[in-house]
Amino acid sequence: MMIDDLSEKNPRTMEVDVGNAMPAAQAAGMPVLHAQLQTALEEETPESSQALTKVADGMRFAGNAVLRGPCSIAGLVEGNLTQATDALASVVVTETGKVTGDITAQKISVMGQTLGTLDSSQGEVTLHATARVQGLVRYRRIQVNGADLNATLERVTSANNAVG
Amino acid sequence: MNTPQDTLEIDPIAMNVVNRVASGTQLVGDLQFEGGLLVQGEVSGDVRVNGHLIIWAGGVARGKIWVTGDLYLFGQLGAPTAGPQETTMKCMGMAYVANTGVATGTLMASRLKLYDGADLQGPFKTLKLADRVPVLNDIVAHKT
Repeated sequence: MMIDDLSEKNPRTMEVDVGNAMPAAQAAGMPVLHAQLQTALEEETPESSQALTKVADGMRFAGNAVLRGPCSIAGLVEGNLTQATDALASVVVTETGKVTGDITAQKISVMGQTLGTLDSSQGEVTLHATARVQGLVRYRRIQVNGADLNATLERVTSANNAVG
Repeated sequence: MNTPQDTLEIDPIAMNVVNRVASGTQLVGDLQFEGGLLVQGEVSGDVRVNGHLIIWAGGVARGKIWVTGDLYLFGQLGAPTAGPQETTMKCMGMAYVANTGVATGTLMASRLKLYDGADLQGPFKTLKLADRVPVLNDIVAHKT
């Protein structure tokens, strides 16, 4: 078989740049709630000074929230999480987290379950291997690493971004 | 962005990619490929690949496509302006969509790996175990 783009190192293989699977820094810095460590974390993490919102594992929150900063969901949320118009918010749904409702934020990172719209038409969506996502995903940049996905994806380009 | 890129290493021999649609070639109709397929031109219609499918940058696949192995998308799945009904891809393995990959069709795969910059429009569904059970005459890509 003849193939044009053969790698120089190994003539049998083709090496192709494919973009990044996951942002390297994000996985390490991802806040994961551990019940026994929580008080220590609150004092130590730099995010605590930026009004970090947390829904801890075992907690259920029903209602809509307007976010002005980073938000970590390890419990159950039934309602919409929306970024304030004059602020940039980031939402992390951890492995134990479940959100039934829409999330609108600059950065959305899912390791748990979501059911609804993930809207990050100005920013990026990251779906990790443990994520289970159903609904609509609007993104400008997206990275998916083996997530369980049953969703319609919609890429927002700068041309149609004026709507959002 | 100056971040180092991930690279995918594709070994056509190890992956048993024995079929190739070269750039400039158009194949239309009811097609069945035994072994993997590298698309650098265009395939459309009822396409069945018993192996891995690699859609190279510049390559296009349209229609009803069934892949028993993995999908590597560097090119185009579905016509650029078409809706999700025009192209349906069912991939029994993992779907890798690289930063140059564009999919406008409906994509179903066991697992999805989407790299930064990939353009996926339309529905995506993760195939559950029941959807992946091979039916009669199906040939599984990896025999061992």
